[in-house]
Amino acid sequence: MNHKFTNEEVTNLADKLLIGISEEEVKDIVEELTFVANSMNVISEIKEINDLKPLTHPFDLYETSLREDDEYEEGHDIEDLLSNADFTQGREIEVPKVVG
Amino acid sequence: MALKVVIGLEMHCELNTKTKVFSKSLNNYNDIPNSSVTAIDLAFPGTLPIVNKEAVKKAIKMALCLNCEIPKVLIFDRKNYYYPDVPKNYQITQNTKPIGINGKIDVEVNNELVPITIHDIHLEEDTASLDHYFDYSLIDYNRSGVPLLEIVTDPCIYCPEAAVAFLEHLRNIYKYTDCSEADTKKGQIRCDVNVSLKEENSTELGTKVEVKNVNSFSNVYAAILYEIKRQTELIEAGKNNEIIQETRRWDEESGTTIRMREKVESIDYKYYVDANIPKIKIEKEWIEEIKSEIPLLPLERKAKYIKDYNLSSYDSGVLVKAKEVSDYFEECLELGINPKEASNWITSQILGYINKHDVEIDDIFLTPKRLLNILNYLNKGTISSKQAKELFYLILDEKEEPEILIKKYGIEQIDNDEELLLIIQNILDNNQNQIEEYKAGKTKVFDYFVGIIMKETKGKANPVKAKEILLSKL
Repeated sequence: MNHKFTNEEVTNLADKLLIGISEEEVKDIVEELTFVANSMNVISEIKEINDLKPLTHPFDLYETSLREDDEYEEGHDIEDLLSNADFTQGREIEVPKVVG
Repeated sequence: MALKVVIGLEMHCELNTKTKVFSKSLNNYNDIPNSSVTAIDLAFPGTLPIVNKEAVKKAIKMALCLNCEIPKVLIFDRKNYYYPDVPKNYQITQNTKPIGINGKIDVEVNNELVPITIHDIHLEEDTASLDHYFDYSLIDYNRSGVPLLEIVTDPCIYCPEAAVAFLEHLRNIYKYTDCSEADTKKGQIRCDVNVSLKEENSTELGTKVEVKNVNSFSNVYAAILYEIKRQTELIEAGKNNEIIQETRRWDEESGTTIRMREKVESIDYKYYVDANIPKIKIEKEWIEEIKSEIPLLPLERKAKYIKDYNLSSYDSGVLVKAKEVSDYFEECLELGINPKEASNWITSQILGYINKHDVEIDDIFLTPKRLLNILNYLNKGTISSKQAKELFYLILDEKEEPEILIKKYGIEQIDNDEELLLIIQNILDNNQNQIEEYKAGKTKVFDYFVGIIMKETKGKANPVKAKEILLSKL
């Protein structure tokens, strides 16, 4: 993979992801993605990599059990929760209007 | 050119577990905002989701009810997107190996069984709920992580009636199996509807339009009708190219669908396996155990009512339409009420009452036990059938025991021969002319006398006995 990212490509991607980014950020992201692409190139050099199944879990143990639906945990303290947000109203978090 | 509509449905329904699907927060999102929220729901760094067994069990149960193939291993995926309703910036869902695939179920549409094929069923987490105001939105994370089951059909439905019948049938299965309350009024069910038109004999599907987030079955019906009309008009005007693959939303106020975004510009969700959740083996024995817990489903109960109790197909259909009603009927039978009698009372009187007053059958004061009381009085002849109906409404309205109401309103049948004889003799003495008419062959006068007897006794005379005595006296 020898892909070179462009400003237009990043702007287009941001549009598709419904996020707005500044010109400055576009520049940074192009640089970051170029770094990622270069790292991927290193991996691509591994012989017969296309024949390998993607690894999602290091072990195929399947021994993990599911959680019983009996014990519950009280909700986190509301003041504590809201302190993470810049804007709040009552018990809720306020964000710019987004209808997607 | 004859056109045929092709419909595919995606139905999301919240499962009724005690806790959320990946955290131990309570699954009661209608509580005060942000009260059932823990670190996992908010995706705080270092937190790990742990899968709720009951949510998986209910998902498997639904997959079995829809005759799906169940995978051997449980795997979850991340669906990546940026929107304030997912604090993680991804939703945990199933893409690689859904909990059920290739299902099939028959639904009844206008007395005919129509097969619906299920593409897949996947278990996922619900997102936070957003309330939109003029220039801001408020987020309540209580709903984040509530187990949500999405059932996706193939494009195999060919009329809006079948689409709604399928959704109603699914809602019933959710209730019968106790997998969900499945209450559209509480926002527990949301549907996406895919509609396309094709030429009647063509094997190729037309361009698909998706109508998202329709929140009631009547709106699903209306949205399909609207899309059929809109797309037909475009095709007939030769503007086929104006039907594009896009996402629209149903606007209840205008009764139309409105474009949200074109599919070509759609978001790429970049699904990949969530490595934070280990792969979990689904044991065969567990699937068998879940299968054995599935109760009789609506159509099976209906068949049983027709076969075992000799009820009509129509009445049986009415009884099984809501699980609560069917349960009420079965409780009546357990108390020993005759099936036909129970069915008659439920389908006519009780359903009439609950529909008129917009109440649930479980909430009315007239329990099957109290209905049995009324029927006992009726069958013993203590009250007439007219009085039974009077008592029925009094119980519902005054929320009092039948015996108290009988005393309070003097609802009792005059059953005593001597008492009836006295009343009838008195009436006959005062109606000599009518007796002559009767004797001259005018038999209709008999009904006239019965009417007077009932009027004089305020409907309390036992009609059978009164008629017998009257006949002997004429």
